[in-house]
Amino acid sequence: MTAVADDTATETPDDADGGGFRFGNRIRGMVLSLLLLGLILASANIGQLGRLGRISGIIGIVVTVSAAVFVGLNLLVSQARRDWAVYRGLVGAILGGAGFGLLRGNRSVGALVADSEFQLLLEDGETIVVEDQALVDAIATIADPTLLEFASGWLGLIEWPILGVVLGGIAGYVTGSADRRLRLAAPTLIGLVSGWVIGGNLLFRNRPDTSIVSIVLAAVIGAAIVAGVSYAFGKRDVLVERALMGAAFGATIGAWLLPDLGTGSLAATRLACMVPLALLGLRFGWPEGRDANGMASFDRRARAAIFLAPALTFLTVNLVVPAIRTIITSFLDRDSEEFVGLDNYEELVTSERFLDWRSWRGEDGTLNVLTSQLTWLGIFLILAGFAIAYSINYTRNKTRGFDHSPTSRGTILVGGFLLAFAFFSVIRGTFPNTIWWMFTVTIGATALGLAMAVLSQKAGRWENVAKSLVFMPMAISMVGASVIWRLQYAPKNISGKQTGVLNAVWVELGDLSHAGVEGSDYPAWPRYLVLLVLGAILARLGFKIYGAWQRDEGFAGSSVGAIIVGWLFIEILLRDLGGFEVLDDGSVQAETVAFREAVQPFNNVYLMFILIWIQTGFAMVILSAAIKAVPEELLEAARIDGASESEQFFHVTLPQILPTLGVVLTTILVAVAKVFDIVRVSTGGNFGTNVLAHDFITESFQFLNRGVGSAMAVVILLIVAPVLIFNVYNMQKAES
Amino acid sequence: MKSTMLKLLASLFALSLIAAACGDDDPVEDTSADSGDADALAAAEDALAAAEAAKEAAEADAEAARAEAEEAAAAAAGGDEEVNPLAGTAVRITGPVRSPDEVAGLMGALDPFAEANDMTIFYVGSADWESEINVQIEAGTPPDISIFPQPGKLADFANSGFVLPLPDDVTASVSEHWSDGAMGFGNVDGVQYGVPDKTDLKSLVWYQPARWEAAGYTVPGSLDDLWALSNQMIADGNTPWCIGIESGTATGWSFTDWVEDVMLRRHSGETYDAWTSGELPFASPEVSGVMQEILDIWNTDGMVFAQGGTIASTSFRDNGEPLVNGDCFMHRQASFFSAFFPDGTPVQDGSEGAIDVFQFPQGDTDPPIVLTAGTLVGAFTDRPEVWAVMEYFGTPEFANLRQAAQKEAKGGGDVLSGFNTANLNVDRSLWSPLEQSFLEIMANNDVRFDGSDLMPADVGAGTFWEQGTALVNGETTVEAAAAIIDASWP
Repeated sequence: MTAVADDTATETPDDADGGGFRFGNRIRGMVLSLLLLGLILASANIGQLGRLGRISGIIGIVVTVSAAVFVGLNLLVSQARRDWAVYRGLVGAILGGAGFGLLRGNRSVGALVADSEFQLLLEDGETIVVEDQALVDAIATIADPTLLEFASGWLGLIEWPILGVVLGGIAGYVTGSADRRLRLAAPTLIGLVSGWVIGGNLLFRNRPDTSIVSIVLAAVIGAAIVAGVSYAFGKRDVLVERALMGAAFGATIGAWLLPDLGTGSLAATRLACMVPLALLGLRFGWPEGRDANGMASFDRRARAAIFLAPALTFLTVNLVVPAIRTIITSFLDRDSEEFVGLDNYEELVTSERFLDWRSWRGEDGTLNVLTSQLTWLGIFLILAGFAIAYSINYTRNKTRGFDHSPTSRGTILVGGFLLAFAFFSVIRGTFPNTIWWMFTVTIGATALGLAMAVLSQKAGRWENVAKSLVFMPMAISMVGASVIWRLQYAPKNISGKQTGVLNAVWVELGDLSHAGVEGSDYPAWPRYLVLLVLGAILARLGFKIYGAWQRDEGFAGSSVGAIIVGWLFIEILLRDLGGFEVLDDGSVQAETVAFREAVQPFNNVYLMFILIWIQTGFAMVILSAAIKAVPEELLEAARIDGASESEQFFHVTLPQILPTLGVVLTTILVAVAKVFDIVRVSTGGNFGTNVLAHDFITESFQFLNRGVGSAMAVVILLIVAPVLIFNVYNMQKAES
Repeated sequence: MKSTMLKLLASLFALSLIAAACGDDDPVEDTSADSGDADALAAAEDALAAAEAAKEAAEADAEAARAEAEEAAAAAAGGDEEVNPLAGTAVRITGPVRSPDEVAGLMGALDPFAEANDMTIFYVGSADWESEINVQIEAGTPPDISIFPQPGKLADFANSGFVLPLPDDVTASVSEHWSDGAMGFGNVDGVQYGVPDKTDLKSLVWYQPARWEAAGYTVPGSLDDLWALSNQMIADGNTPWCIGIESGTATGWSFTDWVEDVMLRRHSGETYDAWTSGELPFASPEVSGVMQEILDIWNTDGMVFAQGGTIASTSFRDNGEPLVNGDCFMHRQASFFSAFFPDGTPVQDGSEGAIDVFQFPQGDTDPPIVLTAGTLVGAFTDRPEVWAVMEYFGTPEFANLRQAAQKEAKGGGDVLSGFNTANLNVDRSLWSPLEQSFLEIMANNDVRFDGSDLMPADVGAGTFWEQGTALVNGETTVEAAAAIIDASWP
C-alpha cells in the first residue's frame, strides 16, 4: 500500500504540495471504503446468520479489519513525514473516535442527541425498557439489575464516535501547526470542551465523588513525581512535557481511581473529566515542531512497532498470559479458588507418581543400581575406552597419558549412556521418566541423524532416496507413528501366529535356535545352516582384523561387527536366542515379549524409540545441510595433510557444524520434554511409562485438579527454560 | 496524496465504529445511591412496578407454555398435531455414545420426538467426552443435555451447580417408570438431577452351553463353586477364563468390575455402599481381601487365556473371538458385550457354538444384588423444551423406539441390540429372549451401580484403574496399591 503513495508521488508532479488526486487512486480508495462499509453493515447484521455463518463471518471481519488497520497504520506513518499536521490530525481523530466510541460502547455515557432506550435485565431474568438514562441509574440503585443492552437509532450508535473524530482531529491537526499560541490554546480548549460533554453525559453510576482540591493535589503530585524521575534520568529537554503528562495521570487517578464512583455531583464529574483532558491537550500542544532527524527516528520506530505488534499481541495472548496464569493457578487449590502456597508442589514432589525411590534399594537393602548388569557393563566400557586411549598414547608416544581416538571416545560415550540407563531404570516416576526421555531421544535422534547425514553422502545417486526414507517418519503424526509401533510391538497369545513384526521375528528366532528339539517347527538342518553362515562371516571378519593389525590400521568397525556376529553365533549354538520357554518335560514353547507392558522399566525405551524414529529425519536433514556447507578447501587441506576419513570428520567437519548441532539438540530436547501423544496412544500412561506432559493433562482435565496439574506444567517449564535461555544466549552471541 | 487520505479516513471511521460496537454487556456495579435525584427515583419505582406486573404476566404465560409442552411431550408418541409450544426450538445433546449402531438407536428414539414436536434435537457424540464436558463447562458453553456414563460425574456437576435439579413434575413422571434403586443413581443428597436412560447388567458370564455339556460342566450356583469349577477345568486341561483389561486410557476398568462384583458377593450391600462412598478404605481387609482373591484366581497357572499375551495387554474387546473359538470356557463381562462377538455368532439358539450367559453366581448376600452400569441424562439449561426432552428420556416410549432402531441397525430380527434398560414399563417383546432375561434380572433383583463410576474421578477413573492395572501386571502388591488409591481420594 505504501506503493500507492509512492506512485502518486512519482507520477503526479504537483503531488508535492498535496494537490494531486488521480482517478485510479480515487477508485481504489472508494473500493476500500465501500468494502469497509460493507463489513460494518455485515457486522451489524451478523446475528441473523446461522451459527456457523456467524463464526465464519466474525473471523472474516476480524481478519479483514486487522489487515486494514495494519495497512492503514503503515500508510499513516508514510504520510506522517510529509505532512506532520495532517498526521497529527489523523492520529488525534483515531484516538478521539476510538476513545469516545469506547465510552459509548461500554455504556458509560448516555446518548448525545439521538433518543436511546435501555433494556434492563433484572436479577430474575426479566427485562424492562427504560428511555431515560437517569432512570437507568436510579433503578440500578433500588433493584440491582444488570444492564443488558441499550438500543438506539442509527445516529445514537455513531454520534459519539463522530464527535470524537471531529474533536480529536482538530486538536491533533492544530498541534502540528506552526503558531505556538494556537498550538497551546486549541488542544487545551478542546480538552475542556470534551471533558464538559463527557462529564455531562456520564451515567450516574460512573460519577466520581471528588473535589477540585483532590484533583489538583493529585495532578501536582503526579507532575512532581514524573518530572523528578525525568530529571534524574537526564531527560531535561522534555521536562515540561513529562510533567504535564504526569499531571494528567495524577489528575485521572485523583479524580477517578481514589474516590467512590456513583455518588458524585454533576459539577465534580465535569471537573474530573475536564482537568485531565485539558492537561493532556496542553501536553501535546507544548513541544516545538519536530526536526528531520526526529521524524526519521520516529518513522523507524513506528514501523518496527507496527510490524511487530501483531506477532507480539498473539504471543502475549496465546503464550505469555496462559503461562502466567498457569504459574498462578499452581499456587491455588484444585478449583483455583484459594491460595495454598507451595502445597501443590509439595504434594507433587512427595508423591510416588512423580518421583519413586522404591526400586532404588532391593528388599535386602542393597542398591539395585549395583546389581544391574547395565551398571557394570557401562563402567566396563568407560574403563575400556580409557584403556584404549592409554594404549594408543603409549604406542604413539611411549608416555603415560591418554590420547583419545574416535574408538575410545565412542566406547566411553556408550558406557556413559548405559550407566545413565542403569540409574534411570531404578529411579522411577514421571519426573525421572521425562528426563530419561529427553536424554535418550535427544542423544539417540541426533547421533543417528548425524550418522545418516554422513553416511548418506557416500551413497552417491542413492543419497536422496536414502534421505527421503529416513525423513519420511517426520511426515507421520505422533499418533500415527504410535499406532504403527503399537502394532509392531503387539504380542498375541502363543496358541496362534504372532501378528506383531517384532514378536513374530523374536518367536521365530527362538524356534530356529531350538531347531530339531521337540516343540519346534524346524528340522535340525536350518540351525546348522545359520551357524555355518555366521561362522563364515566370523572367519572373514577375523582375517580382516588380523590383516589390519598387521598393517597397523584401525579395525574398530570390524571388531564391533565381530562381537555382534560372534554373540549371535554363540546364542544360537547354545540354543539361547529368541522368545521361548522350556517346559518341565523338556519341550519348547514360544514366549512373547509384551514390549509396552511387561518389560519394565525398559518399556519406556521402546516408546522412546518411536520418537527417535520420527526425529532422526529432522536431525539428518538439518545436519546434512550443515555438512554440505563445510568448505571443501578445509577438507582438502586435511586430506593433503594425510588425515583419514574419521579424522577429517572429527577434526574438521564436526567443529564446523557444532552450532547447527546445538540447534538440533536443543530443538529436539524441547520437543521431547513436551511428549504426550506417544505415551497417550501407546500405554495411556500405565505400566510405569507416564511422563509429566501426559500426567498433567490427566490431572488437570480428567481429575480436574487444576492446582497439581499446573504445578506439573510449571515443572516442565522449569526443565525447558534453561535450554531456551541457552538457545537465546547463543543466538545473541552469534549476532554480536 | 489526497486519495490515500480518503482511504485513511474510511478505515479510521471503521475503527471508531467498531470501538463503539465492541462494548460488552458489562454488569452494573453495585451502587448505594445517596445522591438524591428524587424525581428519577420516583420514576424508577413506577417503572419497576410496571416491570413487575409485566413479569408476573410473563411468568403465567411461561407456566402455561410449560404445561402445554408437557402435554405435547406426552402426546408426542401418539403424533398429535396441535399448535406446539416446542415448535421451532432446538436442544443440543452431547454424550460418549459414539458407535454407529448405538447412535442409530439413540437418534431413532429422539428423531420421532423431534419431528412430532416440530423441534430440532442435535446430538454430538465424542470419544473424549470426559474431558470435553469439563472444558465446555469451564468455557461457559455447556450443551443443553449431556449423557453421563458415571453418576459420580453427574453428582460432581450437581454439587458445583452446573447440572440443574429436575422440576418436580418431571421427577414424578420419570419415577413412574423406574425403580427407586435405578432413580437413586441420579439422586444427589435427596435431590433428583439425573434421568436414567440406559442400563447395562454387569454380573454376567458368557459361555457356550454346548461345549459345557460335552465336557460335563454345569452352571455353578455360588462363587466358591465357580472357583472350584475353574480349577476343575484346569485339571481337565481346559482354560477356564478369557480375560483382558486393556482399554486405551481407561485400561483397568474390567478389573475394577471384577472387584465390585466379588465385593457384592463376599460382603453386604451396605459394605459396598460404604466402600464406594469412601467410608471403607481400600486398605481395609474387606476390599484388599477381595482384590487379593481375584488376583490369586487370575494368577493361577492355566486359568486365563489372554489373546494379547498378557492380561494387561489384551483389549477387553478381544475376548469375544477366543470364547467363540473355544480357547476358553467363560468370559465375565457386561450385557453390552454382545456387540463384541464376531458377526454371525449364534446366540442361544441351541446350536453348537451358540453363546449364552449365566448370572455371575450369588455369594453370601441376601437378597442377591446384581451389578449394573448405565447412563443418565442431566440438563445444563433451564428451558421448557429441554425439560420436555429430559422427561422423554425416561419414558418407555423412548426405550422401545431406541431398542427397535438399534436392533434394526444391527441387522434386524432377533439379534442382541446391546441396548438394555431397567425401565419397568417397556415392551419386553421387542428384545431378544436373551436380553429379555437381562431385563428381568435387573427388574427382579436389588441393584448396585458400578462402584468405580460412583467414586470421584481421581479414584474411579484414576488410581483404581491405574493401580488395578499395575496389580494385574504384577508390578505392585495389594497393600501398596491400596495405600496409593486411598491417598488419592480427594
